[in-house]
Amino acid sequence: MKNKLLFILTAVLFVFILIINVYMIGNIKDMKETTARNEESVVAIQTQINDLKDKYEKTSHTKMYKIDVFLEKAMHKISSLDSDKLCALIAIDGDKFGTKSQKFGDAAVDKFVVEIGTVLRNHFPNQDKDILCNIGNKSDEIFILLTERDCIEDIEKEVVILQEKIRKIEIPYKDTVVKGTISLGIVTFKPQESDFRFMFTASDDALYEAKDKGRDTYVIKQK
Amino acid sequence: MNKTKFLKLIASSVFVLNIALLLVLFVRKSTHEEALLQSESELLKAESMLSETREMIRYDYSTQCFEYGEFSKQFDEIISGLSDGQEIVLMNVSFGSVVRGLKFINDKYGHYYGNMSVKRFSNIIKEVYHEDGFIHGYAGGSNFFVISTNITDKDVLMQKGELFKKKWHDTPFIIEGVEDELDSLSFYISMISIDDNDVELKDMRNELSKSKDRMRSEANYGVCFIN
Repeated sequence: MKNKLLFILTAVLFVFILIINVYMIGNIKDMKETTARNEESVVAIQTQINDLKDKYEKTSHTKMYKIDVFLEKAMHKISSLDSDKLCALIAIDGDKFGTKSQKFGDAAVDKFVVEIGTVLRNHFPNQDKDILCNIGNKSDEIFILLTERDCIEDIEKEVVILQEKIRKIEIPYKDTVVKGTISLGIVTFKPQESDFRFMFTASDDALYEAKDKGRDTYVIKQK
Repeated sequence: MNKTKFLKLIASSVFVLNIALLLVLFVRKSTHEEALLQSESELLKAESMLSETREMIRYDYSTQCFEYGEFSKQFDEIISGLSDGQEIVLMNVSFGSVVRGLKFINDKYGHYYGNMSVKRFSNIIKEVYHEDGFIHGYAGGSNFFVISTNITDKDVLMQKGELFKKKWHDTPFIIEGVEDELDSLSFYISMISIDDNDVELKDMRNELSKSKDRMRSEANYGVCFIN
């Protein structure tokens, strides 16, 4: 009788533990699924936040930093540089884009500027090192801060490649294509030796010289 | 070993395994509970960051006034909610004459100072029109808009224009090493009273812009109501 009772108790205990185990397995499965869903949601929200931040900090057309964001990032970057490597501020302006707008319409020229933005973003993929800025949403005025370059020749090489890439852009318009060129004014400087606030006028001056030289060219100056 | 003994051995093994499984599951459950709690806290954090970001992007980065699209939405909401006899005032506040404006600063002193001049102007706007019921919007360049829902008395708003002039001259725009006549940069405030539910911001903007252009051709600063 005692053995029988013990057997029954053990069996009941066994079944009880079994039920708990089954319940716990289900519970763990639910927790795993909820955790995975939460993690997916966090990733989705993070993407949404990044998109919103981009919208806040960058121009909608060219996806380059707005001037004030650029200034903050550029000045922060320059103050963090300790090397004696070179920096350069490049001022870019489209050649006779106003005339093009009259000839092909604003939409075609806007597309051209958007394409310039794509070329620049692809050419300078490391936005921590090289910072891009578009003055306004549909503006063809662009500034680029290049950092950590070894010598002026390296910067010149990049500029020449960049100009070539821009020359290759073709925007279909009716039965023809819109093509264009840019002029560039470049000022190179050592991060710890120059006041970045004054580099804008220096690069602008160089840009105007490039325009005076007949456009589709660059002028490089050293500070 | 007889059959009964064998069965007993199997049964006790299964029993022990069952208990072992219970222990393993307890440990795993607590690990997953921790992961779940952590993921929930990260989700809450992300959701709160999202709502902060959504709030943040309603404002222009540089001036911290409402971004124009958001300002336009608010204008539409206020206008559609106007009851009979109720009015608001819309203002266009801008700086710079035709030849000496933001472009002049950008070209002559560089975009760093151009940007500073816009920030300086936005700060003055927020200081002068600081009371409840003033809504500030930035329309790009040197153009700002302000809606006044509480203060609609023309004399009071004209006095605020005078206060603006004082603040403008009390906070000189200094560029290192430059002793220029930047203080003489002009500013213009044109205002319009609105008591109609059907007006559109773009039409009002055109009206205010025409008034600004008139003032620009006549004086180096101006404050006026156009109706």
